[in-house]
Amino acid sequence: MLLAEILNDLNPGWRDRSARLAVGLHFRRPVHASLLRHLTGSGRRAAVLLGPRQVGKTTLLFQLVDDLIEGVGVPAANITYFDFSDERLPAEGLSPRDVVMFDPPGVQRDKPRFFLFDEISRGNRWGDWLKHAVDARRGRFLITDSAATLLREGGRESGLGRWDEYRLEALSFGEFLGVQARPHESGIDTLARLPTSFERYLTLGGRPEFVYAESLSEAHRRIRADTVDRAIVRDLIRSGADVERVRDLFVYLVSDSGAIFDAATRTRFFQRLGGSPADRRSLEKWIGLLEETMLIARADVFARSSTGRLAGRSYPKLYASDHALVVAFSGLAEPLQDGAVRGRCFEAVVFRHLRENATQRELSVSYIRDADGRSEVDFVLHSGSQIRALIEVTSSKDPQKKVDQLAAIAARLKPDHCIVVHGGLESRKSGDVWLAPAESFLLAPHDWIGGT
Amino acid sequence: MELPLGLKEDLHLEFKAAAALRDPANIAREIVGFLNTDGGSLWIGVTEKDAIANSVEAVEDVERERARLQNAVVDLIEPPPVIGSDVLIDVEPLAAAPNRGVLCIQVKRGRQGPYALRRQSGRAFLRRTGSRLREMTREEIAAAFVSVTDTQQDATETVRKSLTQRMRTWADDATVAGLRIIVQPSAPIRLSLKGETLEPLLRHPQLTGNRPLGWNFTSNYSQPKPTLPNGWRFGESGKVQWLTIHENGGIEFSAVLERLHWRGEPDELWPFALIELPVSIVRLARTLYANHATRPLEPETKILLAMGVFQIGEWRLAPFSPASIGYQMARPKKFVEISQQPHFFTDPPIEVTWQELHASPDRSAYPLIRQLYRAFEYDEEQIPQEYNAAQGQLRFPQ
Repeated sequence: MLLAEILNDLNPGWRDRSARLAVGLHFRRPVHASLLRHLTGSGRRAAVLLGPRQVGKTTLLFQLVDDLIEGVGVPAANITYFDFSDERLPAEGLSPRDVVMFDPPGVQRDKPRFFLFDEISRGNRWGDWLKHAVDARRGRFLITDSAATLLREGGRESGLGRWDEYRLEALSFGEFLGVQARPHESGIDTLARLPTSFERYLTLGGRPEFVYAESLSEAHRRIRADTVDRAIVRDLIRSGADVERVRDLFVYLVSDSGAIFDAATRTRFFQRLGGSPADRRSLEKWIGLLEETMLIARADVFARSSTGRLAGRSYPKLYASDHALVVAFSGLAEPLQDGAVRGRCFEAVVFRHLRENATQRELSVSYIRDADGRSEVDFVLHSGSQIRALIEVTSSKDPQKKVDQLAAIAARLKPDHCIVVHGGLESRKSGDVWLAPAESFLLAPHDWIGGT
Repeated sequence: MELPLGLKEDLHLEFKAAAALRDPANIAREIVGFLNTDGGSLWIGVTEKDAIANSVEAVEDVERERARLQNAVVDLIEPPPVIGSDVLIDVEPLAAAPNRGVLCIQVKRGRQGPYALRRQSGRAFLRRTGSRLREMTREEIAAAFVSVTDTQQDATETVRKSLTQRMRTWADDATVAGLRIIVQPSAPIRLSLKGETLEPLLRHPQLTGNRPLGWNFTSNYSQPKPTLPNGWRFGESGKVQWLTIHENGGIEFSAVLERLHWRGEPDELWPFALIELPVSIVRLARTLYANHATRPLEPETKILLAMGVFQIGEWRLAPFSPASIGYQMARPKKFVEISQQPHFFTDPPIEVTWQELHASPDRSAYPLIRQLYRAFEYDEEQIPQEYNAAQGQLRFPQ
């Protein structure tokens, strides 16, 4: 098929000015506003949107195309959307240069052109091209891809100063409700109207395509297939990693999400039949790949000083980036009825919201563990050595034991906020510790720990 | 079965020593008394002092005695009660000697009364007063001969009229909007309702056969609270959804109109909410009546189901399952454009027997849905396929 035909097909607005790409998709994620500002601002840098598969990157591009036409008034012919993973393209790929060189009918040369490129790493020599395109001011560019491939093949160095990175994770709980909200309905009202929303969110995770899923088991099957078959096997194979063992490692990490990971003692777990044990460096490299692909997320141990971190047992805790992975890979028919799975799911989902809050406020999220391993706090939100919040998580409806433990540690560390996120309904303060029902905390973490 | 040691004889409880089996007519007398009054349990092999069960005096060869007693009940009582339904004779064997044990005769209030004990000298019509038996008066016997069926029909008619009237009142009340579902038995039943037994039922829909994350009465944000008269309320009245369960078996579920929306345009009713909410309430009713009634319901007891969706005039409902092309292609009209009415409600209410509801709550609730879809001028084929009319089952993909 000719490039022109594919381009015409992907950009219906060129033929019909009233055609829209994101029909019925009203909810806009917070990063949407940032990207729209970036594209319409005065800077010339490109925007790079990174995120794992199925978190809504393409939908976001569609909404941006629509909003550039409707809200900003850009002529439709000056906006080019292109998907480099389109199956109609030749196997040898296509250079982004060819797409940029194509002039749609009716393009207005006196006005800026916008290029929104999906799955850019499938394009030939895209890194060099983008560098030259930005330097030559050929237009405004927004490109997306799954993180690992993009960072490896594009090369960060050439991008320095030429593009800004935006990250997109799975939907937060507030966004999950926002997708289902009626016009002008607040998150708390949507939650009241759809009383099973929190359990659905725990079960289905934050991938937009599953917000309206009717079959939970089918959703889990697709999450597993998409993660393993596409994100790991197809994407990471290009990185040269042993994908079979990366897959084993991933399933292991997700099944044990939130556990402290010591690569040195775990090498023999990943020995395949007839093969040799995985060495520590390989394990660490694979974990790095999984992190870059945003399939897992790391919480390092908190230390007041950098030497303290080195002196103590500084193994990280590794979490599934989307809590639905914990549920989908549990192998249980009713995973959230299992206390251990539910507990891991709670921790993973709280961590996902803390990461976002920390990124907005330029803070870090770590965990605290004494050298003797007796006292531990699930999460600490901090700026360097200054502790903003201690957060303990339990899926139990009776969090008193956790409250007592946290109060004892808080008396020593003097954080600004001290919170036990729990699975019950109680919302009150016990001494210096706040009890936060999980739904309430996830709906508005900033109400509990600060931020916006 | 727990032995009744320490319990006192009363209207529904009687103890007899094992020696009573020597004269089966003596036991049949007690059974007649229960049949003509309000049912109860008769324990044989339990001795009493001052009407309080104080020891067990096991019946020898207890299975043989049970068979003998069953024959005696049929021979000595007129009309003969149905063994296994009207009269149920259970054996509680002793652990140490399984051929010895206690007999427990559970008797329901008879449906073919009045019952009489056949004697050589004639028939004795007996009924219980407290823990004692007495002969029925001529007037009582005459009244009891009035057809039970007529009495049931009268009660059913009364409940039917009452439900219809309530639906009409809600329709006339401009402040009422949203879904209302009522399940009401026509015969007097009594539910044993306690917060600790209700809480799990209302919190975990699986316990009533519902989907854990489906469209049902469950809410994580409510606690069951006692409410008048003699019932429990789950959810706050006037908020998104609330449920009241009365001790007399009446169940009322209400939800605001917005609860019926999920996907699509803001004025679109979500079909799965419309069909699953009523089914979930009927499934809940089945669990409550089967497990929490102080006495088992008669199979023929009539149960009435009513549903109303008030102020839906400006709302639309697309036909077929949301998973189908037909649903996605439909351009439904507003309810008021079709029916010229702002409300829908079942008139008259749907009537099912306890036997039918117990066997299949989904099938029992189906006519409610069918009426609603008819009101939108849809055929049965346009009801979402997840509600299988032939099998009488509402089933979603797992």
